[in-house]
Formats: sequence, structure tokens, C-alpha cells
Amino acid sequence: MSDSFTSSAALLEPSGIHTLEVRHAMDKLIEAASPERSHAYAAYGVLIYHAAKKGPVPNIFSATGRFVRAYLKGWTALSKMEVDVVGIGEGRKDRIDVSEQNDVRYFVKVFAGKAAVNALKKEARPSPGVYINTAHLDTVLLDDLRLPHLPERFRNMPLVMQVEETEQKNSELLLGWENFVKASSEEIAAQETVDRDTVEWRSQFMKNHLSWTAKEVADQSTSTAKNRAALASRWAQERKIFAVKYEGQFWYPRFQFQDGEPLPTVGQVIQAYPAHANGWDFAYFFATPNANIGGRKPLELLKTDPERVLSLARAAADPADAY
Amino acid sequence: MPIKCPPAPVAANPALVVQTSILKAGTALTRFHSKARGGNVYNPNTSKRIDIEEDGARFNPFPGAPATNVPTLYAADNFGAAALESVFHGVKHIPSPTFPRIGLKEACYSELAVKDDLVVVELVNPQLRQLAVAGRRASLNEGELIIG
Repeated sequence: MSDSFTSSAALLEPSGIHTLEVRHAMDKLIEAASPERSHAYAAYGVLIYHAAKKGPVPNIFSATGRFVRAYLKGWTALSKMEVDVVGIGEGRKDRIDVSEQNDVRYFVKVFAGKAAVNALKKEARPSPGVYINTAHLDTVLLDDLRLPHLPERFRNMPLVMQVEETEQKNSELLLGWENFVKASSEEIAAQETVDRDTVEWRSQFMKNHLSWTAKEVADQSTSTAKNRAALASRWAQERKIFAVKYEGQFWYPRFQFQDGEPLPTVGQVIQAYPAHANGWDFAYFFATPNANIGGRKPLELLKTDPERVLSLARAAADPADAY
Repeated sequence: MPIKCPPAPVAANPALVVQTSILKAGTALTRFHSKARGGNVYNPNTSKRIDIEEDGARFNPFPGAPATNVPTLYAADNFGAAALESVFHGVKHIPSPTFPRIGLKEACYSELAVKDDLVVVELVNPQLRQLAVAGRRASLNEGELIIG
């Protein structure tokens, strides 16, 4: 590896902090992260310093401060991470951008599971930042530091997170992480609940409302075009119909059509909404019982009272206009 | 902006006692409103249809009166009441209700301070019950009345 990029590293062990050459420090970290060796040798992580920044010699307090901040960023990233990305240490999918105020950005890369150690070995050029080996950060230690435990699904597996800082502001405070943890965990918990409810709502919608694929839209229409997907996407582009994206595919709810053609009211509803509205906003509007029409759903009135549907859509698109 | 206020209904109950109170200068109010309007700008309610609920019928308090609309500034003396009576007004009183995110996108809130003492009409239960407005029973749910 080339040391022109990075000069030195600090290895954080239970016994203290040691300044080492980068490759040597990484080897120690890999050893500590290897499941078969981790009982024999413990290390918390490695700090890799910028070559350009001729700062003071690594100091145990500043190193600990950096380590703790990096842990929190990594923890935030893991909390937001989808379950199925675990197990790889390569590619960009597992590199998570954690943006901060004050223009400080952190990139978190996770090496987890069986492949973690090999992926770490392949890191030809460790970049400046903090590599954290979570295996030796036990709950007692984390509690002592007032740091949050890793999300359940990431415990008991080899896991190293690399937290890279793209800009280090001098004004950033070392203290206050307890507040950060509290605010972040509340925010994440609230967001997770919302996301779960959203997913649940969407799957209920798909269950209750027959929807067509683009090809089926073409089959139901009188179109004789060769490209069977083109008609639906053209109609969607012209804002005549909407699609919802579900499990990676676009679906066109059938209630938008009559005799294979889009109901004109659907297009008017779509156009009553701001441009940033997406298919699920329309799906929600049409399929949710509406108090203004006695708890019926707007889709029930699509053919009988299109004007009322439009009036309901305007109110739903900009509810603040009413008060 | 010319305000077209409706005349008093001819069939008003002569025995009706209107109670007023004073919002003192300096009183803080919170108001949710469309981003399209300033925080202290009345919603003109123009081109709204008072017979259609989603058009803001509850802000057009004189159904059937000759004037078309009444400009409204809807505010509360606390944030929670202002939010619940505006952006979250349509949220059902059930466990885990749903709410579309888009419902918040065009809305914002402002904190206002009353500049001069304002005489306001008290419209809490005892007063509301006296109002001989056609359809009052249908439109007012006793359980929803605000206890002043």
C-alpha cells in the first residue's frame, strides 16, 4: 500500500492507544475482527490520519472523542440500513452517506458477516477515518460510555464499520453526544414506525385493488402497438393515469380505466396535485374513506359524480387552502 | 380587499345574548395556513362553495346568506389546537390513523401577536346553543363543542 495518502494510524486497544504504521494497524484490526481469533486478541478500532494534516501526535482523549463520534455516525447508518444488505464489504450499496449540519459529511461503509474479514483484507488503501470493530464493544462498555447498542440484527457477527469524514470543522464540539443519541434514536424510531405503516398500507392497497401491469393496460385497450409497455407509460407521462411502484414493478390500478381507456377524471385529479405528487399519493386519495362524502371512497364516485371527485382532490392536494 | 360581509339574519332571536370577550394586545396566536398566503393574511375564501364541505364550508359560517364568502383567519392560542383543527382535522379518531405526507407540504404555521385589543364573540357551548341557525343540530356534534 502507498503511504503517500495517509501517514499514521492509531490502534485503540483495551490497554491503550498505540501509534502504528497504517498496514500494521489494519492487520491488527483484521486479527481482532476474525471470529476465530477475536477471543485471543481485542481491539476497538483504528484511526487513520490524513497525511496532509500535521496535527499533534495522536492523543488518547482526542482519539477517543473521534472514535465516539464515528461510532455514532456508524450507528445512525446501521439503524437506517436495510436488513438485506448485510454480508458484503464491497460495492457502493453498503456505503452510506450520513449528512450533518455544518457541512460535515460522513460516509459509513460496513463490513459485516462472514465476508467481512476478507473484504477488509482487500482494502488496499485504507482511507483516513475511523475503522470500528464492534465485536469488542460489549454492552457494559457501551452503557458506560452512554452509547447506543447496535441494532439487534448486527450483533453477534463480525462487523467493522469504516466512518470517513469528508470535512472536519474545528467548531464541532466533542461533547453532547448524549443529546445526539437521544434525538437520533427518537427520530429513527418514529421514521421506522411511519415506514412500516406505509408499507403495510401499500400492501393492503395492492391486495384490495386489482392493478394491471403496463402490458395488461395495453391488452385491455384497443391499442395494437407492438411495444406493449409503451401505451401505459405514455398515458402516465401525459398525466392521464398513474402507476404505483410496488415490489419493484409499476402497477396501474384498474379503477382508472373504463373499457380499457383512462377515465378523464383521473387525469384531472392528477393535474390538481402538485408536480411532486407520486402514484401513491393518488392511490391514497382514491382509496381512503373520505369524511367529506360520508366516509365513502372517492373512487366510488369516479363514474357517478366526477365533479365531486375533483373537488375532493383539490382539497386533498392543498388542504391548507381551506383554512 | 373589499369584504362582503353578510347582513344579520332577519330571523335572529331577539332574546339572543351575544357574549364578547377581549383578546388583549400582545396575545400570542398560532395559525396554520397555506404557504401561498402570508401568516397574517386572511384566507379570502373566494370561489369557495359553501355547500361543499371540502371547500372549507366550516369557514363559511353563513350558509344561505347573500354574501358569497367570509374572509377568515383561523388561529388558536396554542400550537396543538391550531394543528389539530387545521392540518390534522381530517385525521380519524382511531388507533394508528393514516395521514398522507402530502397534506403537510403546502402548509406552514405562523405565530401571531395581536396588535390591538380585539373584541371577539364567544362561541362556546352556551352561546352556540342559543344560535337559531338552520342545520345547527346537524352540523354540530355536542361532543366536539369546545368548552370555553
